[in-house]
Amino acid sequence: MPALTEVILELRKVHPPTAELLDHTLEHIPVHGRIEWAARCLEIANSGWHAFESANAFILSSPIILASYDFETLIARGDYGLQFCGYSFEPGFTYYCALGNLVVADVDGAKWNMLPEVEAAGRTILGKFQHASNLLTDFFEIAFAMLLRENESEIRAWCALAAKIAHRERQDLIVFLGSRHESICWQEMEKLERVSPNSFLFYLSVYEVLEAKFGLDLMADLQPLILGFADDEDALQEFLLLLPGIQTISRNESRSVFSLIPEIGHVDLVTSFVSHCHELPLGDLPVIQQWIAGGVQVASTNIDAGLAFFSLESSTSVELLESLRGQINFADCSRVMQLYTEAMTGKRLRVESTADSDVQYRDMPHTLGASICLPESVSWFASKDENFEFYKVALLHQLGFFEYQTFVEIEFIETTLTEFEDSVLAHGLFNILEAARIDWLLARHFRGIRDAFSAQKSFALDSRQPLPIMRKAQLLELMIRAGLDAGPLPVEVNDRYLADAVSLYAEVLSLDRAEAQLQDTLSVLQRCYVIVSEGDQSQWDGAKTELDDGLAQMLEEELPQPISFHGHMDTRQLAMDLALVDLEDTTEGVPDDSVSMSTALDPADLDIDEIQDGDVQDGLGMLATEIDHQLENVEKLKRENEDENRQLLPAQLSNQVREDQRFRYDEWDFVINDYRRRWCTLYEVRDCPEAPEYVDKTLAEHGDVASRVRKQLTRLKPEMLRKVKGVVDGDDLDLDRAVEAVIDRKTGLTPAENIYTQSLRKDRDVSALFLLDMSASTDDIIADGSEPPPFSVDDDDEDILSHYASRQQDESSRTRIIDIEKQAVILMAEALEQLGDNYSICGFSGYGRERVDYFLCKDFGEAYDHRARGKIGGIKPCRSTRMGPAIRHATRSLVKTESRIRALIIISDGYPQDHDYGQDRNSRDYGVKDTMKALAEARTQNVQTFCLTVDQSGHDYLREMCPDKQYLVIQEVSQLPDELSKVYQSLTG
Amino acid sequence: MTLKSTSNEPAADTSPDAYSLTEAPFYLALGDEVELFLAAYQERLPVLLKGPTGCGKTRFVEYMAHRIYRGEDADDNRRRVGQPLQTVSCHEDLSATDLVGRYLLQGDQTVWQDGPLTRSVKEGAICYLDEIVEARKDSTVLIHSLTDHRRILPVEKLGLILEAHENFLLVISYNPGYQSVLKDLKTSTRQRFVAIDFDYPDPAHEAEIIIHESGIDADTAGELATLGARIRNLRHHGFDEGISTRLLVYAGQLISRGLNPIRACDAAICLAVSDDPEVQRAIGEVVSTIFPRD
Repeated sequence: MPALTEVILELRKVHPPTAELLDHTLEHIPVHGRIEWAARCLEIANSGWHAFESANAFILSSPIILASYDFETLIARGDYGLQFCGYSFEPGFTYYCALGNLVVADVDGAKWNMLPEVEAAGRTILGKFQHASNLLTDFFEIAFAMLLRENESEIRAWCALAAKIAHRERQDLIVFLGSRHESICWQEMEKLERVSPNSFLFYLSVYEVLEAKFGLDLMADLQPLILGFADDEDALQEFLLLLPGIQTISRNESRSVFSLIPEIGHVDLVTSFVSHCHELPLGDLPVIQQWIAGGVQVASTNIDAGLAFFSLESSTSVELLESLRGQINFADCSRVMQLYTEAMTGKRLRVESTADSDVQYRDMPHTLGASICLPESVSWFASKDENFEFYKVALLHQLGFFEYQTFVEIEFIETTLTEFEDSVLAHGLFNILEAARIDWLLARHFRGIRDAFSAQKSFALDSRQPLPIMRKAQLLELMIRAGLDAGPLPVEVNDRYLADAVSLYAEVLSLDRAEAQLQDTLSVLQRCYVIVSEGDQSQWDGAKTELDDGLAQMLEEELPQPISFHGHMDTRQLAMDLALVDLEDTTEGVPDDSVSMSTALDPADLDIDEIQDGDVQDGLGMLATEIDHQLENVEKLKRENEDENRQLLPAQLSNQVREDQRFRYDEWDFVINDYRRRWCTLYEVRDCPEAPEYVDKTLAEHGDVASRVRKQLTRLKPEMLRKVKGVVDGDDLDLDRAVEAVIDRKTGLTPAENIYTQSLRKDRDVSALFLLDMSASTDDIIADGSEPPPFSVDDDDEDILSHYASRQQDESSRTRIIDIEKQAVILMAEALEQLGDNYSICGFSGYGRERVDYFLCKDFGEAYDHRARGKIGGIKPCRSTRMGPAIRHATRSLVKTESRIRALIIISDGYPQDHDYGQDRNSRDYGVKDTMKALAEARTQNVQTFCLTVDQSGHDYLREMCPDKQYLVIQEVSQLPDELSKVYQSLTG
Repeated sequence: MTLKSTSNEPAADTSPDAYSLTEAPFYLALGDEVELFLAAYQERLPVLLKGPTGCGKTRFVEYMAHRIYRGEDADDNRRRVGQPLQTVSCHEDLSATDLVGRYLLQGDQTVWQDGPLTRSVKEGAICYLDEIVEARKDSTVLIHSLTDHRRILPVEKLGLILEAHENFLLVISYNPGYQSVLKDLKTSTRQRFVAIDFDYPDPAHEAEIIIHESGIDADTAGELATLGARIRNLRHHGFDEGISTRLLVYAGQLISRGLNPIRACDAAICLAVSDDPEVQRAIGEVVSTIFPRD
C-alpha cells in the first residue's frame, strides 16, 4: 500500500482541490484507516472523466457517515459508489451526496438499514444499463428521496419493482423512474405488476394526469378497479386512455361512477359506461344501479349488445333508462303538444324539439317566430306524469306570451328596450317581469294549471344558487324569486341593498293581478331600471366612462341564471322573426310548407304604424309619457332597423326555405339483436336539382312502352266495395223498396223495378311510393353487347387514347342504370296520373349514418307538374345505399296517407351498402339485416313492399331480405318499365 | 227518419207535451235571428238555417214555433194546431215517400199514411227538415213547389195536389262545415230560402246557456265556455264541427250531478268528439288546464 503522502501527491495530479479537500478531511478519519480511505478516494477520482466530483462528494460525506457508523461501513459505501463512477461521475456523485443527507436525516438509523435494498436494486440496474448514467443518477435521487420519505414497506416495494423493471426495456425503466409522484402507493403497484407488468407500467405513465383530474381520494378508489382489470392489458389501456378525456362531471359524480364500475365487471363494458357516464343521471344511484343490472344481463349473453347498452346506443338501454327515470321524450308527446298549442292559441304555431332548432339556448324552452322549442327530453322528476307536467307548464308559459300580447307587440318592446342606456339590464329586467306577469295571469285564468305552476315555481326556487354578493346580481335574483312566489325577502339580503330590494320586490309583486297588461310590465320595468341602475351608478361613481364598454359584458355575467320552465326569451331575435313573417307574407314564390310563420300571427297585428298610433300613445299612456322625448329617436332607429332587417331577410328567408327537414331513425343491429336508437339522420330534401327536359325526352323516346304501361294499368279495377241501393239487378233485396213495390202492386200502381242492392267496386284507395336507389353504382353504363372490343397489346398509344376518347363520347350518350330507373318511374307516373292513384316518387343516397339523403321528387297529393317532372329528371347518382332509414321514412309517408292499400316499391341496383353500415366493412350482413327489418316494420304497418333490382346476384340477399318472394331480379334492365307496371298491378290490383 | 207523430188527429190529447210545445223552450238570441224569422214567417218565406252541429238551430226552430203558435200573439187558428212543429232528421235513405206519405199494409188492405210534410201542409204547421242535404235528391226536388209562390205539394200516389195551409212554413237546415261538395245544397234549392246564419255563441252567451240548461254555477259555466272556445280551435283535427254547445251542456249537467269536472268533460267531450287517442289526450290536457284535478 503506498504511503499517504504518495496518495495525496497522486491525487493532486488528478485534481489539486480534491487533494486539498482530502488533506483537510483526514483529521476526521481514524488513523488506522487513513491510507485505505485516501486510496479509495484516489481510486474514485481516477475512475473516469470528472470523477473527482464523486471523490469530493465521498470525502465530504465520510466524516458524516463516520459520526454514526464504523470505518468498514464507510469503505463499503465507497466501494459501492465506485462501481457507478466509471462511465460518468454523476451516479456516484449523487450516491455519495445522498449518503450524507441520509445519515443527517435518519436519526435512529432505521432508514440506513434499508440501504442494502436500494443498493441491490441499483446494482441490478447497473448490471443491465451500466452506461445509462442518467438513469442511474435518477435512480439514486429517487431512491434516497424515498428512503427519507416512505416507510419500510413502500421502500421495499419500490426497490423490488425497480429491480424487476431493470430486466425490461430501457424505456420501461424510464417510465418507472419518471413516476416520482409522492401519492403513488408502491405496494399496490407491486400487486399490479405481479398481475401484469405492462398494465402496471401503462398505469404509471398516465398516473399523473389521472391524479390531476380526479385527485388523491378518487385515485384511491380507482386503484383496486385497475388491479381488477389488469390482466386484460389492451382493454385496460383503452380504459385508462379514456379516463382523462371523460366529460366534466363533479367529484361526487366521479365517485359514483367509480363505485358503480365493480357492478359492471367487464373492462370493455366499463369503458363504454365511463365514456357515456355524463349522459346518465349520476345523482340518482338507484336508477343507475338498476340500469347497470339490466346492462350486465344483456352483456352476459351478447357482449356486443352489452357494449351498445352501456354506450346508450341500443334501444333496450335507452328505453330501460327512460322508464327508470320516468323520462318523457318530446317525440313521444309532440303531437299532443302541437294539438294543445293549437287549442290554446287558435294559431298554427309549430312545436318542436330544441334538438331540431338551429338556435340552442342550453336546451331550454324558447320561441322562435312561429316555432316553440321544448327540450328533447325531461327526466328531472321522478315520475312520467311530473315530467310531462313540466312540458305542459313550459309550453303554456311560452303560449302565455301569445295569449297576453307580448309577442304581438314584440317589435315595439325591442325598440323600447334598446333605447335604454343600459339595454342589457333593460332586457334582463323585462324578461324577469314579463315572465312573472305571464305566470300569474295563466294561474289566475286557468285554475286547473295553478298547482302545476306552483310546483314548478317551487322546484325552480329550490334549484336557485345562493344569493349573489354583488349588488346588481343580488337585486335581479331577488326579483326573479319574487316572480316565483318566494314569500318574504330572504334574511341574507345585504343591509345596504335592503331598501332597494324591498322596493323592487313590491314592484314585481304589483304585476300579480288579473288585469296586469304589457304596459304595466313596461312601467314597472322603468321604475325597477331606475332603482337598479341608480344605486349602481353611485357604486361606480367616477369610473363610469371607463366602464361603459365593459358594462354590457359584465352585466350579462350578472344576469341571474334562467329558470328551467321559463327558458329563454330573446326579444331581438323574436322581433326579427316576426318581421320575417311579415316579409314572407309579401314574398312571392315561397312554398307553403317551407315556413309556416305566416300562419302564426295576423300580420295586421304587426303593423308598426298601428302599434305606434294606437298602442304606444294611448294604450301605453304611462310609459309613453315617460319616454315621450325619446319617441322621435325610436322612430328613427326603428326605420333604420327595418331597413337593415329587410336587407338581411331575403337571405335568411332563402336559407330557411332551402333548409332540409331532418329525421332520426333507429337502425337494427343484428349483432346486438337490438335497435341502435336514433342512429341515422335522414334529411328530406325537397329542393332537388331539376331537369324537366329529361321527362319529355323519355316520353318521346319510349312512347310505345308508355302506352303499354298505361294499357296494363287501366285494367286495374277499382277495389273499394260500396253498397249501392235501388238497382235493378243485385246481390240482395232492398227491403224498403221491395215493400214499396208490393204495396204499389196491391194498390194497382206500377211497382218500381229497382228493388235490389249490389256491392260495387267504386273507388281505388291506393297509395304507392316508388323509392329509387341513387347510389353511385347506378351511374354504371348498361352493357348492350355493342361495346367496341378493348384495345390489344399491339395497339400504340394513339390507338389507346382514341379508344378512351371514343368511349368517353359514347358513355355520355349511353344508358346508365339510373336512367332506366328514372325512365321506369316516369312512365309509371304518366300512367298513374290517368289511373288516379295517389303516389309519391323519391330517391335516396347518402354517406354514413349521419347523412342519409331522401330526395322528395313528388309527394303524395302533390301535382305531377313541371316541377315534379323536373325533380325526377334531375335525379343523379351519388354516394351510398343505406336502405334502412330510407325505407323507414318512406313507410312513415305511406302510413300518413291512411290509404287502405299502401305499396312501397324499391328499385335498386345492388345490396345495401354504406361505409359505416356495421362494424365489419367487408360484411354485407348488417345492411341486409337492417333492410330486412325495415321491410318487416313496413309490413307490420300494413305497407306492402316489393324490391326490384337489376343486380344479377340479387337473389342471394333479396331472398333473405324479402320474404314471400316480394322481389324481382330483372335480367334485362330495359325491361324494368314493363316489370314495374306488372309489380304495381300485383300489389294494388 | 224521425217522425214525431204518426197520427192525423190533433195531438193535444195523445202526444207528449213536449211535442205539442206547451212550454216555451229556452233560447238565448245572439243577434236578430228572432226578428228575421218572424218577418220571414209573416211573409211565409221558407227559411234556411245554416250552422254547425249543436249550435242551437233545432232549439231555435222550437222556440220560434212556440212563439208563433203558442205565444201571446198567436191567434186561435194557430193555437189549434196540435203539433206546430214537425221535425224530420234527414238521412241518405230518406225519400220523397217518407216525407209525403205512403200506403201501408193492414191485413189484406192498404191504408194511406200521411208523411210529416203532408201533415204540416194540411194543418198549417212548421215543417223542419234537419240536414236536408243528407236526404235523397227526389226529396229535395219535392219541396221546390212548396217554396215558391205556388205553395203546393203534389201527392203522386194519391193523384192529389195539396195547397199548403196559410200557416204552413218550411224550414230547412244544413251544415256547410262538414258537408262535401258532392252533398252541397243545389243552387236551385238554396235560392228558394231566406238564410239565417248560426254559429257557436261567444263564451259569455255560451256560459249563460250552460247555466240555464245544466244549472251549474256561473264560474264553472264560464270555464266550460272557455273550454269550448279552446277546443273549437282544433276543429280541423278530425272533428270539423268543433265541440257543440250541447256537449258543453251535457258536461255541465254531469258536473251538476256531483261528478268531478275533469271526469265529466272526459265523458261528455273528450271521448265524444274524437276517436284519435292523441286528440283525446290533447283535449284532456286543455280540460285539466282549465279545471283542477280535485
